[in-house]
Amino acid sequence: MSLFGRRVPVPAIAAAALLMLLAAMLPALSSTPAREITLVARGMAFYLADDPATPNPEIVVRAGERIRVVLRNDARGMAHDFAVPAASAVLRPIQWSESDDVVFDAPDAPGAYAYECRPHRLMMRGTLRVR
Amino acid sequence: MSKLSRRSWLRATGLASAAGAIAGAARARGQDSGLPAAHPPHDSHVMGVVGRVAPDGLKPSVYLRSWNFSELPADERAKFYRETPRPDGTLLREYEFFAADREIEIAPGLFFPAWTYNGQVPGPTIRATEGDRVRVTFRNLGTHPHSIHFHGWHPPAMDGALPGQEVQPRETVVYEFDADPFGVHLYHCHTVPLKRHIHKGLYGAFIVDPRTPRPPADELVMVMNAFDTNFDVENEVYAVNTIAHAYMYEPIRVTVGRLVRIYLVNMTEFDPVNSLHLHGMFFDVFRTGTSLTPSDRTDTLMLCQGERAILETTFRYPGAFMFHAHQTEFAELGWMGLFRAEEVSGT
Ligand SMILES: [Cu+2]
Ligand SMILES: [Cu+2]
Repeated sequence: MSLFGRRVPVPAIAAAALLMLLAAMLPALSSTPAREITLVARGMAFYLADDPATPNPEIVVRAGERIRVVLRNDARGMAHDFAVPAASAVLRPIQWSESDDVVFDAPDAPGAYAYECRPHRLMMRGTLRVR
Repeated sequence: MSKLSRRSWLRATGLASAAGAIAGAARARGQDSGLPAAHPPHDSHVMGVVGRVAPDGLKPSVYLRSWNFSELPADERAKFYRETPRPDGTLLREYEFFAADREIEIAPGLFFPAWTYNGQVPGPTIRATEGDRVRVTFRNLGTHPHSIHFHGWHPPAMDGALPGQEVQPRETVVYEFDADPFGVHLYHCHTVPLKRHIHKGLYGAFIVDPRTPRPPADELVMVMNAFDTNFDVENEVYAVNTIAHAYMYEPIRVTVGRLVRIYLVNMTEFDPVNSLHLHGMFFDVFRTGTSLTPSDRTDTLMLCQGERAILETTFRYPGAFMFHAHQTEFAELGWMGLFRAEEVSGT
């Protein structure tokens, strides 16, 4: 391939393009850091990783805040997922001992929204409080 | 592909050989009273499943002596069980039940995609006294319609089995009735196809005590069950309380001279009958537990599907006593266990 009359190997162009793409993405990523919240699913309830005593705790966030929910499944033999329907956030069902995460923006209007495990929402359901 | 027989299935999955179970039996025999075994030694047979399931799965030894969620710490238990005295001296007993899909390990390395009540197979044991009011809130968190059908007196609206009484996924219903008559009963899902819903794990024991309690005893709940792991309408794994050979590895500890009462329920699907045979001893039989007078004294009891009985006996000798289905095939495929009788020190 030739560029400005010089022959340039294709891999070099690909590498340059990748670098430019990464550089373009960096400001976007750094300007919207996600607040990380780790939830554990066990005994048919969600718990905050640092508060094993409160089932299905209220999660308080700011309006429009970018949130990363990390879910860890500690329920042997059971699959759990995590969803915030009002934010169209869905984390795939995960098996025992697996973890996964989902990034979403909290709703812009303050209020109480539901988060839930979709198959088990009659028991695994809590409030996402937007301030 | 040719249809696998149950035996060849076991060979194929590498479960046949019983070094572990035999070793368990031998260990137990090695420590007993020195009397000859009541039956010829079993060491010469090949006997089913080897090894133990992971310790954080179902716990048959805990299930055995638990009812009304007594195995849970108080704060956790309060989420699933409450009792409230009523003016006439009886209790209102309230239970929180849910159905949920769960993979359970029924033999070492063998996982069964169960449908469970409250994540366990058998489901939690419900125990009330004759005349108590039982109220069960049932949430279906499973992926199929389910229900709870209780044996015992109740009006049709509480049957759980009539058309339109299936509980759809994410629906909640409340079953409420008086505990009557006293005896050992059962509950199970009654959604069609029935045998599928039952054998997937949706069943449990429902014990009703007489108003004048039975004599004090060491009480055990045993549910004979089986699993069709390859969906050919035949069972490949048999057990009492779900896990094949669990009580071979963890013998049931009992005390010489103390009355032992077993609440025995047959929840086996696909095979018309199951049985319990106890080595070296006899027991009194109270069929369905609805009488305080024994109907039989035997060492082998056969029960049809859904049939149950209370057994009472007292261990005379210390040492290991085997119990198993007298359908030897069931025994070899997991339905076998040991009692270990010990003398109380200092008496
Ligand atoms: Cu869940
Ligand atoms: Cu069902």
